[in-house]
Amino acid sequence: MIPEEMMPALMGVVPATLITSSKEGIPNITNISRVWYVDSNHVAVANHMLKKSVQNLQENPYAFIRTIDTTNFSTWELELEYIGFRTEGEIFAEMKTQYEVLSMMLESEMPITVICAELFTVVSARICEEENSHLRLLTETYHPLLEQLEKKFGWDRSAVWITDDFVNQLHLAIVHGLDEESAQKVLQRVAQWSSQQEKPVLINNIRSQYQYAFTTFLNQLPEKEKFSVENYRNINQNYVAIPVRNKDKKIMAVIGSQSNDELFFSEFNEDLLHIASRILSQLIEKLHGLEDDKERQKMIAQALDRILLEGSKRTGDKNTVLSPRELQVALQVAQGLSNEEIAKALFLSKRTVTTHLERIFQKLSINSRTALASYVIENGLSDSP
Amino acid sequence: MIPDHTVVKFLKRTEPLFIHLAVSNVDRHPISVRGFGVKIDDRIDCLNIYILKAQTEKVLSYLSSGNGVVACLFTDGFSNESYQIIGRFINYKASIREDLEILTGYRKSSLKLFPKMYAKFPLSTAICDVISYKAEEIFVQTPGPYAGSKYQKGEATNDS
Repeated sequence: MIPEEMMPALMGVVPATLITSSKEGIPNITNISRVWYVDSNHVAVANHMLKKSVQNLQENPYAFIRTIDTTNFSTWELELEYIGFRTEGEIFAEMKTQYEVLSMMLESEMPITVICAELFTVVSARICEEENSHLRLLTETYHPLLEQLEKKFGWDRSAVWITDDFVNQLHLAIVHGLDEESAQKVLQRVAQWSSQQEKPVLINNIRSQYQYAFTTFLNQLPEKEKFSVENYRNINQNYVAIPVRNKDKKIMAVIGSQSNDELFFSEFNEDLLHIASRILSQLIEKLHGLEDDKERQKMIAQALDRILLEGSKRTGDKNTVLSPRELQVALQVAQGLSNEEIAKALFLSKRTVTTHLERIFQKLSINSRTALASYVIENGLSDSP
Repeated sequence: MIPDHTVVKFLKRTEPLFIHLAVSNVDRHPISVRGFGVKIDDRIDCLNIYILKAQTEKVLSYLSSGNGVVACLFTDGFSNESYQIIGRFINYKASIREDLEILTGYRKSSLKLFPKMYAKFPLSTAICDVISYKAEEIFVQTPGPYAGSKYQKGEATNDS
């Protein structure tokens, strides 16, 4: 059965491949210009020069097609069983017309002819998840994170680079608000530097100094160049780069953002960036195992809150004896959430929430949720950090 | 040497070069996966094809249950000049640091024609394995009158 969402892959925008096998099990693979949709259970291939493929199909009917949906560049795989050839009927007529059009367009003396339509039953149709799995991992993990970084801190021009295992080289994975490649260049260098130094980087008010240094450099070139408007546009005032580490503490990605508005990075100092690096590393690890988008969004929001909470705790903004995690639990209690709801919201077990609450009650010498809610309000802890 | 100078040159210099690796299992069901680079050891007619780690297990299971024959289709993304090189599977291994140059080069050249498509493959040694096989037969697959015929040494099918 061919699913509706596969249709863009059957438009012949880019070539597909047809794979057959001889009865001895020798595979044969060939490019085909298009896979033709016949009906929801059948496809066809135009035969104008298929030789070995047809020979194989006559002795072994099993075939395989890979074709690409160019709207999202997903590869579709079709398991097929060969029925036979057709030299009449709707699909063959359609093929003939297309080949006549092609011949006309080519002005070729030797017309391209279609011999027959090779017809197949579709046994299965699927998106090749294996090809997309690492991609999905990246987009589903980092894209919502960049979105929430924008929502939370205004980081509207940001990107994520993935590091290679063996060399200190970054590959751009996700980009947000930086469409021009040239606009990403300086940010990538900052991200690369963060990866090499193995620590977060925060650069403020750099444009004027960069312009001065760059002009000096350009003036030293044999053919003196001027600092252009484009050069100016591509350099921002402020940059931030936060490394993300894997379980083995090796850097696996760098999140970078740039802005001319220093307010976007004003909440961050070196200490807070280290906290962000640690919490985001833990977050990415957890996100990898999460399928549900809503849960993913919630988990990201919690992590960003936690970064600020921990930062506030260190700078003493929040005058409380509670740990950042306990404070998060306390805030949820103050909002009237049950233990079960808190566990769900903070991605903890119910038992862990209970333990946190016991400790909170002990630390604050209180014994009720109402008292805790009062404590949160009276100490101004519910205000956004 | 089965892949002669013409074919070796084609495999080494074509940009972008599209690679598809095909195998078939004990029931004669064929499958294929995308290749992300080729390294040639022409002293022993060995071709090393980079594939995604996520697809290695399936390819290996087909090879072990089938007759262990690998077919690779190599196509010039611009001219459509194509060769199919068939031969026996030798082994597979994880890619190593030295392979990064090939993977990076392959990605860069593929981005020339399909930037959006290949941008989704941040190719690295961490996500690629190498399938090695012995080149035994070469077929011309360039569209035209010779498509499917056995390759005659030294004969390029598309000089454009």
